[in-house]
Amino acid sequence: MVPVKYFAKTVAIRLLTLIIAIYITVVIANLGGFIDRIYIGQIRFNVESEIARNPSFANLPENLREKYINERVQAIIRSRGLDKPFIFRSFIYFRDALTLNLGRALILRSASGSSLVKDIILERLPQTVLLFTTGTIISALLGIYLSLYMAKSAGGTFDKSVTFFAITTSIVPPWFFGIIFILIFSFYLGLFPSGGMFSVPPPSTLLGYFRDILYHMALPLLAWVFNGLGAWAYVSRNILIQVSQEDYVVVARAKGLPERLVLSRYVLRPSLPPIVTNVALAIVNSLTGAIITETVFDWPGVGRLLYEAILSLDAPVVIGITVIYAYLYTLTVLALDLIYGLLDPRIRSSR
Amino acid sequence: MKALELKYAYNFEKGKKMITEALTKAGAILKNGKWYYNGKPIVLKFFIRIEDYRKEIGDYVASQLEKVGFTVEKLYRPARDAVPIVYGSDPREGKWHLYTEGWAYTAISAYDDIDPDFFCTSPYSGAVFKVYKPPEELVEVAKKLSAAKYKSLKERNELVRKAAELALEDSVRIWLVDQITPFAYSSNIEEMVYDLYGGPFSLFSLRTIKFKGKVGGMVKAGNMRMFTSAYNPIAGFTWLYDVFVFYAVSDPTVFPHPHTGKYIPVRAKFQVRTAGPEGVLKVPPTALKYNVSKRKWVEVGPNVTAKSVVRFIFTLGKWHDGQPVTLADILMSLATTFEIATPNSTLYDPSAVTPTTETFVKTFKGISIVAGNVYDVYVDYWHPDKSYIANLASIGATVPWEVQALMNVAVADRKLAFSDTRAEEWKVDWLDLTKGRSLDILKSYMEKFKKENYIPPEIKGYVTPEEARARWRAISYWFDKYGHFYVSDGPFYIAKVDTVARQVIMKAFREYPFRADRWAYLIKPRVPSIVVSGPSEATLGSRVVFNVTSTFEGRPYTRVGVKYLLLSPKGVVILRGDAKAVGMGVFTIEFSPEETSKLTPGAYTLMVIGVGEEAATPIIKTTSIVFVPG
Repeated sequence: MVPVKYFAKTVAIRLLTLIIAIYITVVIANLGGFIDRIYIGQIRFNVESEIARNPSFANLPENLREKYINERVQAIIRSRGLDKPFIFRSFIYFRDALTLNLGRALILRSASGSSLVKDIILERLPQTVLLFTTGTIISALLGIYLSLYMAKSAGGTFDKSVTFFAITTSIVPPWFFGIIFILIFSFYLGLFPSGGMFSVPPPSTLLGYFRDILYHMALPLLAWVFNGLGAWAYVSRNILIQVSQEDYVVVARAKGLPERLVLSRYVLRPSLPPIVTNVALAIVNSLTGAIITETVFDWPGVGRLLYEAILSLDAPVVIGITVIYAYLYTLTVLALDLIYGLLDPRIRSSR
Repeated sequence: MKALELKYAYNFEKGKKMITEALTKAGAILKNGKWYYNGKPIVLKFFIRIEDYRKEIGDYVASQLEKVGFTVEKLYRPARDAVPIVYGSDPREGKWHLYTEGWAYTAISAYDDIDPDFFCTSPYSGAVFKVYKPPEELVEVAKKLSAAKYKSLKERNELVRKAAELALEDSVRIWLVDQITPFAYSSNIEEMVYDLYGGPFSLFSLRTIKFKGKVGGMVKAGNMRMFTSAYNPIAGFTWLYDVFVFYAVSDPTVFPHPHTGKYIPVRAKFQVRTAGPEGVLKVPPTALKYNVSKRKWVEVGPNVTAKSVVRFIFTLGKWHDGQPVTLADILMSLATTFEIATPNSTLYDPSAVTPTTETFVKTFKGISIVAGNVYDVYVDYWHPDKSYIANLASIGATVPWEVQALMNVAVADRKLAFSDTRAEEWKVDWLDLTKGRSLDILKSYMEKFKKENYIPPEIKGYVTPEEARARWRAISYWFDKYGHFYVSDGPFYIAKVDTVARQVIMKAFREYPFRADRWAYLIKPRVPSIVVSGPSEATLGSRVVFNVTSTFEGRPYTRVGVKYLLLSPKGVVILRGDAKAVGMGVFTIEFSPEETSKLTPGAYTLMVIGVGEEAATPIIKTTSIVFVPG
């Protein structure tokens, strides 16, 4: 029987969460409307400075100069929609955000010169996926692989060593490892570049181009994986140990089933839902990049874009990035909810 | 200026005394080293910007004010938080009292005539001047300078001197000038030209850079940011970081000398003839002017006059795509200038009109074609410096007429816009000849025009169909090969624009008409060495003579003005004047018996200031002389 009621309820809850999150983002990114005052002040200042330093206006009577300035300022305010009250505009931004019509940035531009928010974000997204999503997947897979051995020899030397490694590497941020790796592998050993995505100039062949990216990606990827690997191993190990202590696992062993079968069917399979959930959410999280790691390695990702947008008060870009992330996160959680609801009747009936 | 510097030199006790007198007179009380007014401490709200070393400057100034007895509330803020309050609030509300502003010049300027008005009196440079009225004399002098209401350089210089005196006295803005522009370069690079204000951001920097011990090679120029503004020659390249590319690929007609700010020939030599601030010159009736509504060049007709005429002798050369630079290119560029500045035109874009362009359009009277590469431009404009007249009148083309035509039609159809502001208003892309959606739009127009063998109306009669066909073929081939439309005439061409790698690759244009070492003479600023010699002791009432020699690279250097100040033992300027040139790089400073008899015994300082004509860097040498009674 298809759990329609459960699905409908889940979708409604997630949608409502998304709607509220987006509206809150619109309000916060615009500082509750305060940002208008900053923009208008900046516009007026720029126009006044421009006119004041223009010798053509030197002989113009003061009242005419003021009139000209006011007209210019108003024209710019109108072109940016700042003549409408914020509360009114907030619902326009909200509607546009919901329909993924991300509009135009106020200050930032893509490298290709576009002011469309989607172009600005899409230009950075591949770099972020290439580095951080790849890094997240690698550290997740390696970590899960290690966790199997840790769970198997729980309390043993291997388990304790990796646990220690996990704790120490996860409390240190990845950008710190980045700085250390740059010092060692770039400056002292000269094996890898200290930053950037490409050599100057980049290779002219396609294969050379990609090899150059991979070469530049090596250190930031290493830093990212080094930071995340231990945590994945430890969390997965705990899930595996918890599941392996379930009654049905004890019974399976008592029945004399081969250990490999016990591990794969009775331990690993039931452990997958929470692990897969973590991996799915981590992949979505990776799409927002990492501001400081990107800065350390001069990697032009979404993290730095978000930082630049916040610094320059470019609200449409901040909203755009947050909206995309909110959609992806909500869809991922919704998909997981629905899949678990289908697979596990206990989850359906508990809601 | 040196005398003013000495007058306002750092003197904590003097400053403290003045502040104490003023505050006491106003009714404030100094208690336990802190100033109080009406029982409350006098608190200064100091907005200190945090993005650069203005933070350290702010901390230093705050500490000096605290030493004097003020309570200083240091408000560390970034620009976005400080600007709305400092420039947006009424100063009388008391939300701020001091602010660490920052102004930077990206290129040297010989005549900063607008600055006294802008910085010291204009309500458009800060909210302070909307409520505070500077002294009338300062306002009058500043306005005269800004509106160029003077009839000679001497008169102008006198206004500058007066403005400096009055502005320092008023001191709403107090300046700390950072005279060092550091920039890092590899040790295997020889020196290159740098602008005395803008450093490596000079037209001549990348043109003169070379490696030690070899010719040619590849230079990697690092930039804070790439592709911050669009690459279009009309209203693009608005960010400092983008000008590297613009300066490397395009030749302006004239450009400021990197060490003096006066204009020198780049693509064209110039000769200026002027009738002065009140005179007139006749403009030949057959000279041409541009009719915007008809989009054609027409004769100016009889009885047209102008104050000045500039003859430009162009080295036309070739465009990067191999096509010759012609009169049609120049006329197309000139016509576009008028169209952009005329409100009814489809190309009108007020944000694309610079102050110089605006003045040019208002004062342009006609252009005469003297020969294939020689043009006379008549302007109703005068400046005491002829090179400034040449700059205002300068015509030229940065891109070929066919590229200009592509841009113009895309803008006229509102598919693209020249300026960022217009692009935002029209909700279209900012026109970029090298990347983005602009390329597809321009390409579609190019294919259409190539089929039609299009000749723009602005240059009808100046281009034959065969020439037009060659042009469209050339630009089409260029686009197919390089993937962009930025064809220009400078020493480098754009070989590749990589927006993913955020790099631009420029290669040497081997058909560039000038030698690579053309600007080598600008590498070393011609700042002379000054040596002062004279007696260390003299009797009051005697004639005293000092000798000053000026050399450059060991040879006598005569293109220098030498002035002197005689400072008393207390550092007050007693005598001043100009040294007398007596030979090749040799000057004398003489004090007559009448002058020395008026002095009192003591140790005096002779300050000699030399300023070369080829570099705006004064050399100051001091020597001491003790005057003893006779």
